Amino acid sequence: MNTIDQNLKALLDERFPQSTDRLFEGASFKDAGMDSMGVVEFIVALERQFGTPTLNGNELGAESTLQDARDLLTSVGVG
Amino acid sequence: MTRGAILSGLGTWLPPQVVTNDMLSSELDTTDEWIRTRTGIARRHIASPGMSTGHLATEAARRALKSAGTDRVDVVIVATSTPDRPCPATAPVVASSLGLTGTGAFDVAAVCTGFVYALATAAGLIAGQVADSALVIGADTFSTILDPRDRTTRVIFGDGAGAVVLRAGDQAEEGALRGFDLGSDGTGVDLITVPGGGSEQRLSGAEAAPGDRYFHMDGPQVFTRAVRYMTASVRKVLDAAALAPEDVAHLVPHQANVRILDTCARELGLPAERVVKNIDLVGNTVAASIPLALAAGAADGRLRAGDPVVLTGFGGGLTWGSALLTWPGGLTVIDG
Repeated sequence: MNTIDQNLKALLDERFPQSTDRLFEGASFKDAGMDSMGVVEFIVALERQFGTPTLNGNELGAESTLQDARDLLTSVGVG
Repeated sequence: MTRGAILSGLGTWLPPQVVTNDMLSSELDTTDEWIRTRTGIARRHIASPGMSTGHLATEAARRALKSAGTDRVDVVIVATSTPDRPCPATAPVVASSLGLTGTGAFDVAAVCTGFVYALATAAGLIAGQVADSALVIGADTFSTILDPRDRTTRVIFGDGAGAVVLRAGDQAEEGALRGFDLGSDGTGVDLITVPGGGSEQRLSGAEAAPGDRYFHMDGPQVFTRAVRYMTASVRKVLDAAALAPEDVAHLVPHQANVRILDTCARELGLPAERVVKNIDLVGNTVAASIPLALAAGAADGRLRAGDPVVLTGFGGGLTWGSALLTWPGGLTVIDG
């Protein structure tokens, strides 16, 4: 598991433990049991976990997946 | 002695008409369960025809003056973004309705941060010896600017008013306002806005689109910024007083959305029970939100004399701000 995934797993285990496994299997946030507000909470948590204080909050939606989150992090220079 | 502003009265007023989630579900594509889980709101109060923001403000102010045991103040400030008229300000009419014709009176427009901005302004006027007392009112009737078909904003906002009386005193007294932090970011003007009806639209030469007179909000972008700026502002006002979040007895945030409040508490490392919430019963009441939450916290006995209390708000502008105070002894809140 690379550093990004280690941090994502730590974040999810702390904040959204019921969704961790499904998300790592490739499910969308919605299918992993998170509502639209939960996805924004996830983005706030990404800011803290990865020190990226410039995320808007609308980069990911309920249909997004963890791969979209990885791509987002890469696009803002993480990893 | 260091001259400062002391909280000496607190009053609120809510219009009697209540709109429940089930009532909204009957006309919009939403459900009680959706509204509760996404916003934490169960009901909100709505102003009836014939009322106005000034009416709500006057009722709350009357109760705050009674709570303070006075009928005179040196200045009246109304925080609102739904004034009775685009021009003039609402505060002079409110002052006259209270029998205070002749008193300095003006509005402060900082949307959901309006009460904190108005409180800071009043505290500054008292510290600078411009006034010995002040009435600070947060009042809004957002029901008048919501798109009736917009389920995302209709479920969130409610109408209401809350007011405090400040008097000059010693910064070391219980009830003293000990510090403020104010901030803004105009690059976020489009995130919380009523786009039409102002000079920008009029001078553009273009006709306003039908929806431009309604309130618009970008929920996800507002969520992240609300958490970012309110938590930073709370830390800033605490740093200036050499305090840490764990020293705060109660955080009284603008009641934007329960998920925002819970996220702020988590980011600040504050236990949930130290965050005062009344959003379930009133919704997001904009400038009235913080004084209504203060009254709720006082009513349930949580706020005790000498407690360090932090108020924090975030709203359109973008604006944000925080205030640190010690809770006064012997304050009787008068609710409407």
